[in-house]
Order: sequence, then C-alpha cells, then structure tokens
Amino acid sequence: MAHGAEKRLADLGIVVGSRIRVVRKAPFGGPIEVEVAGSRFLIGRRLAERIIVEV
Amino acid sequence: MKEITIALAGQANVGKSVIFNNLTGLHQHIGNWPGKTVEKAEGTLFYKGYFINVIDLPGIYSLTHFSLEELIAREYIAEEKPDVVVNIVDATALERHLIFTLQLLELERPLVIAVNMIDLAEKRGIKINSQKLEEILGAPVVPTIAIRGKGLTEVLDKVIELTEKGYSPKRFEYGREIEDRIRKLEDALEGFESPYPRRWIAIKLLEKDEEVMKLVERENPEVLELAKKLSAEIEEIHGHDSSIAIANERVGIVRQIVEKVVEIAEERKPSLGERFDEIATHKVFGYLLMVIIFAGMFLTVFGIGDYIVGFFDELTESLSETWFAYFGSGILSELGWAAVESFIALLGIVIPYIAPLYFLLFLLENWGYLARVSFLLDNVMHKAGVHGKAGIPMILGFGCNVPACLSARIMETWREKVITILMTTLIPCSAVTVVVMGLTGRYLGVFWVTGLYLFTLLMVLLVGRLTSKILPGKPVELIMEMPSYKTPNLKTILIMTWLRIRQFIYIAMPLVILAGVFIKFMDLTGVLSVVSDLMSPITVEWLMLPKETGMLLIFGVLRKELILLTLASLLGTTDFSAALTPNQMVTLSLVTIFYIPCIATIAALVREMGAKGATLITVAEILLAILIGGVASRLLLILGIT
Repeated sequence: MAHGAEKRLADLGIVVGSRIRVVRKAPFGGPIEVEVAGSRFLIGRRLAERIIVEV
Repeated sequence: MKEITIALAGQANVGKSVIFNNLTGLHQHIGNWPGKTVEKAEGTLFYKGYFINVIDLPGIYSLTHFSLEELIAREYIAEEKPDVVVNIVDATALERHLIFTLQLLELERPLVIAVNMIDLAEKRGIKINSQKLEEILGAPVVPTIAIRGKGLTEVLDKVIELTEKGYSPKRFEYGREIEDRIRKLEDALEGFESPYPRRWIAIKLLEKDEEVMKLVERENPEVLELAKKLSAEIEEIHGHDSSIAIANERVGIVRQIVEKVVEIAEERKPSLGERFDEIATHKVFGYLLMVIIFAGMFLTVFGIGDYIVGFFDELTESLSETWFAYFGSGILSELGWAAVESFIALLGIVIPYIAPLYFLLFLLENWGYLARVSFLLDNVMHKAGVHGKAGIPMILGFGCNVPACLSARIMETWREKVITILMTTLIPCSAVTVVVMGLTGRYLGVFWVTGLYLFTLLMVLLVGRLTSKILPGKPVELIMEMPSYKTPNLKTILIMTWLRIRQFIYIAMPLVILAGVFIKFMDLTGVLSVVSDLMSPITVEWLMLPKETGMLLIFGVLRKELILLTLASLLGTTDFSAALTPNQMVTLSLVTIFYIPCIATIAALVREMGAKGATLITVAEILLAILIGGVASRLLLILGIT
C-alpha cells in the first residue's frame, strides 16, 4: 500500500486490527463507504482493494 | 486592555466554522496565508475585559505533513505561539478526533478541547464523561453545541482561565521501543534551537516527516543520521514503516482513553439521514437526485438572476445618459464611463449569480450533501486523474466559473487543485451557453449543441488526464469523511458567503475596471481593429472566421456573452447567418468554450493560484482553443459542412 495513504488511514483511526464495516459500494467501480469507530469514510476503490480484512 | 490570541484547530465537518462565525460574527478578515493560496480567516471579539483574536486554522486530519493546510496549521501553532489552541472534536466520533488532539498536545501549547455536537452524540446513545476526559488529557474539556451557540462562553472562560493560571502540557508515552528512541533523540537534540518542542521534533523525525528532517539536517546532520538508524530499528521490531508504527500506537493510546470516557448504549436504529443516504447514494436515484438538486439550483438562481440583471441593465442605461449629459462625449468621459460600466457589470454578475451560487454551495456543504456528490462522481473523475471531490467545482462551473474555481480549494494538494481548476475553467458556464445557443443552437439545432457539449466534456477529461500525467507527484487516493447530515446553520453560511464575496470583489474590481477601460481605449483609438487585423493569421487563416472575430474575442474576455452582443452591433442585425456560415458558427462556439476564461474568472484564479498560475492557465487555454477551433473547422469541412 502506498505509504502516504496508509499514514492517512492511520490518522483516521484505520490501522491494523481496526474493526471496519462496509456500509456500501458506489456504483461503477466508485469508492467504498466504510464505518470505523462510529465515523463513516469514503475510500477509493483501488485503495480499498488493498485493505485486507478478516471476516 | 488585555489581549489574547486563540487558534481554532479541528478536522473538517466538526463545526469549526460555525464556532468561528459564532464567536466573531462580522468582525472578520478573510485573506490568504502569507505566500500561500490557502485561505486564512481571522476575527476578533471582546469578552470579559479581553480583546480576543481568533485564528481559524485550516481544517485538517493530522499534523503530520501531508497537505499544505496541515503544514500551515502546525507552523502557526509552533511559530506564532497563540495563547491558547482550541481543539474542536466531534462527540459522535471521539476516537478519530482524539488522534488529532494527541498530536496537538505534542506541540505543547495550552489547549482547550470543545467536544462539539454533544446533542447528536446523546441522540445516538453515546455518553461522554468530559470530567474524566479532562483529567486524562490534562486540558479543559467543554461540551458544546455550536449550531445553537451552546458552551461557547464556557470555552472562552476556560481560555481565560488557562492564560491566567498557566498550563503544563501532559505527555503521552508511546510503547517502550518507541518511547526509548524518542528520548534518545531528545537528548541528542539538546541545544537545538527551534520554535518546536524538542520531543515533538524527535517524534516527527522518527515519523520521517520531510520538513522536520530538512530542518534538522541543516544544523545537526548527525542527529538526522541517528534518527534514521532509530527508525530502522523500530521498523525491524514492528515490521511496519516507523511512521505507521507510531500512528498505530497513537490509535492504541486513544482507544484506551475512549474506553474510559465513552459509554455506548444498545444498537440504535438507522437514523433518518442514514435512510436518506440509501437514496442519495443509489446507483440510479442518487444520480437523479444529484441532477435534480443542481439543476434546481441553477434554474432558481438564473431565473431570479434574470430579473435582477434587468434591473442592472436599466441602471446602466439611465446612468449612462446622465453621465454623458454631464461629462460630454470626450475621450476621458468615455473612458470614465467604461470604468463605471465595468464595475456595474461586475456587480451585475456577483449579486445575481455568484453570491447565490456560493451561498447554495455552502448550504450543501454545511448540510453534508457534497460528500455524496464525491461518492457518486469519484469513478468518472478518476478517468481524469483526480478523485471524486473534483466533481463539485466542475458541476458548479456550468453555472459560473467563478464560485467553481473558488470552491476548488477543497482539493487536498496543489497538484489536485491545479488539475481541478484547469478542468473547471473549460466547463461552459451559463454565459458561454448563451453564446453557443445563440449561434449553433439557433441555426444548427439542439442536436449540435448536445454534440458540442459532449465533445467538451470529453476534452475536459482528456485535459485533466494529460495534466495529471505531466504534473509531478502521485495522484491522491480518495479518503474522505462521509459526514452525517446536519441542520445547516444559516447565520454561518450567510456570514461566510458575504465575506468571501466581498473579498472577491476587492480582488476582481481593479482587474475588471482596468480591462474594461483598456479595451474601451483601444476601441476609441482604433487600436482594437488594428489588433484584430493582426490576429487575422490566426482568426482568418487558421480558424477560417471573419476578420472581426479578433474584436469579438477581445470583448468576450470581459464577459463571454459580449461576443454575441458585439457581433450583433457590428452587423447591425441579430441575424448571424448573414455573417457566419454553419462551419464558422460551430468553430466560433468551440473557441468561445475553450479560450481565455472571462476576467472575473481570471480574478478568481489569481486568488486561488497567484498571478503566475493564473497567467499559465490563461495562456494554455488560448492555445488549446486555437488548436481545437482550427482542427474542428477542417474536420467539419471534410464532413461537408461549409
């Protein structure tokens, strides 16, 4: 993952071990909306694809 | 009188601007940060015998150097040393906001924390123990409801209390492996002169912050070497980049704090806003709603605007009669009138169009809807090499390029902003639409206009893509907050609109008047037709347009619709088919769409990118227009359209 993006996610509280919920996906390959610790974010699809989650 | 300076710091969508406007009202000054194109808002107020300066720091997510805004904020806090930093955090998302608070604490300035939107949090079953939070953070914590002005006087009380009593910042320690290394660096930095706290520099060095590394390298290159070695050790232990390891630990510290101060009630039902989002982000209804909202916005603004413009036309006419009756018709009188007319013309676009569009934009932002637009448009914008946020200025551009360019500040980096502004200025605004409809639409039909617009959009995306390839740096991935819907605060929106419009008029006025007088002067002295003739290798030979086109295009710089009006007055009729062939109509429409932004837009560009950037974009677009116009004209010939 691009180092800058990883840092930005960390500043938003999205780090290894965070509980993350996918709220919805934008149509036509758009961003993913996720919920982390009560906040919702949009994450670009390409970046989101590089976030690995355990279900 | 005692004077205090406070700086407001907080992330986007936290209600920072509502607090700022509530505190300072109209006692504000909007400008840019010195040497930067990031907006700086300052205001003042009196409270309990204190004269308080309030600086609204740009909305930011972290104090690690990522964007210009963040750099400005931390430089301001460290170098200008405001008496108190007021950190506004979102009660509904305490964890995320406290990560930022922790970084503010590391700058060791007196800190007051305003936990805003406490009412929304309660509604969602989130209970925050502010007293406990205050103890843990070692800084006063005040619950606030900014849109109702609740808690703001308490914030000011705490600010005064801190300045009177003094403040000792609390330190949060990282895990052993990192903390030991921070201390080692702190020791090595002994005697290092800097406005920043030593511990902060040590942490930033381990986070590989470029600005701080440069700062240290100049004076203590050996400390930088040590820092690199220590970062490498952290990476060895944690298996992550050292900056990520540190960020992870910050999140860990914050989670422990949140566990102690936040209580969350049972699972809640989806809120009204969340249910509305099902529609607002839907793959069919979402786009439909977006079109309805923006089309509605434009139709309302332009519908009402037309009436107001009628008033301005009458005003200009009656004033002009009085003017010439009084001053005669000498050249000085003509030039003086050109200045007055230009100024009225500027007000004639600001009052009916720019101000209402700006107001509606702030309204949509304040409400939270703009994030949904980014969600829907991210995919298309990616084709142009930028992310979804760029869609907002582009949509606004169809109304008027001025507020559109001014809104491009939502882009994170200089690179994204340049690309967005470049694309935005190519979007045909309402004045351009008038010209295109008056030529191509009237004589060739709506089918052709649609074709031209589709072609334009394609070109805009192409230009975006090319620029993003040419400009240095990597595209920024979309990471943005999807804020919950909030009740818009009318007072804040009105103040924000008014101050920004006023500032725009200040910037645009000299430029608009100068251009108006200058072109009038050229016209009166006959220089204009000479210049127009000199342009004929381009206008006549390359673009295959009549030789008067040069004159039309020069007038069009003032306001695009003047292209049509000047043509009519040159011809003495509004039947343009007498002077232009269908081929020429399409070519002239295309040139009108792409060439130089109007003078008001250029003023907006100056505000957003400085004179150099504005010139660069202007020249680039003239070249682009010439290229597209000439090629299109020949292609049309091949297709048999003469």
